Amino acid sequence: MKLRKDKDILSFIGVGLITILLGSVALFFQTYSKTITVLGGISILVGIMMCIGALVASTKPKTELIADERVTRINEKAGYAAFWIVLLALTILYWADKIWSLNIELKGMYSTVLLVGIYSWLILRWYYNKRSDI
Amino acid sequence: MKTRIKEFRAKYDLTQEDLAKKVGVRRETIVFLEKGKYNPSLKLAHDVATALKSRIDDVFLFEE
Repeated sequence: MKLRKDKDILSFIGVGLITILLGSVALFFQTYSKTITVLGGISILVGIMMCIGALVASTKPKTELIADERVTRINEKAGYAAFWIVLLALTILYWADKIWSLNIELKGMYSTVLLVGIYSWLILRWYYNKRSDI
Repeated sequence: MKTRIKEFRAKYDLTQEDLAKKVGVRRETIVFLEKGKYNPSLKLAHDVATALKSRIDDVFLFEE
């Protein structure tokens, strides 16, 4: 498997490694504040994801990563549909809370709706990519 | 919609990758165009036709 060593790929990996390093440093100060611990953990996770993303991108030819009109169209269609799915999810949560007195907190609703939005966008992107007539 | 992209590619000895690079799109897009499963914008159709040294209506065949 050939890995591309473009300037973009290497700089992305570099930023990922620096983020991991900063997260690790933050964990050394975890006794001072819980917030620093959480931020440190998140930084490490983000750094790892950046490195993995860059490595995956480096295995593909540059032409496969272009955001051409078809990809843009797919992203727009998926984003439009995901927007309505998020609104629907919010409406369902609101009425479910009202009817059954679920006492849903804003924090819980936020994370649920965020996940619904992200996953519906990703799934719809896959679906529109497979579908021919977009 | 049918296309003659494959025919023109063979004429000029171009791979899908070569044509994609010339036009500035993904190879996947060229695959879908060849199969007639993607409706390109006017600009993309023009760019593909130009890359294949032809006219739009020679490359893309619209069925009545």
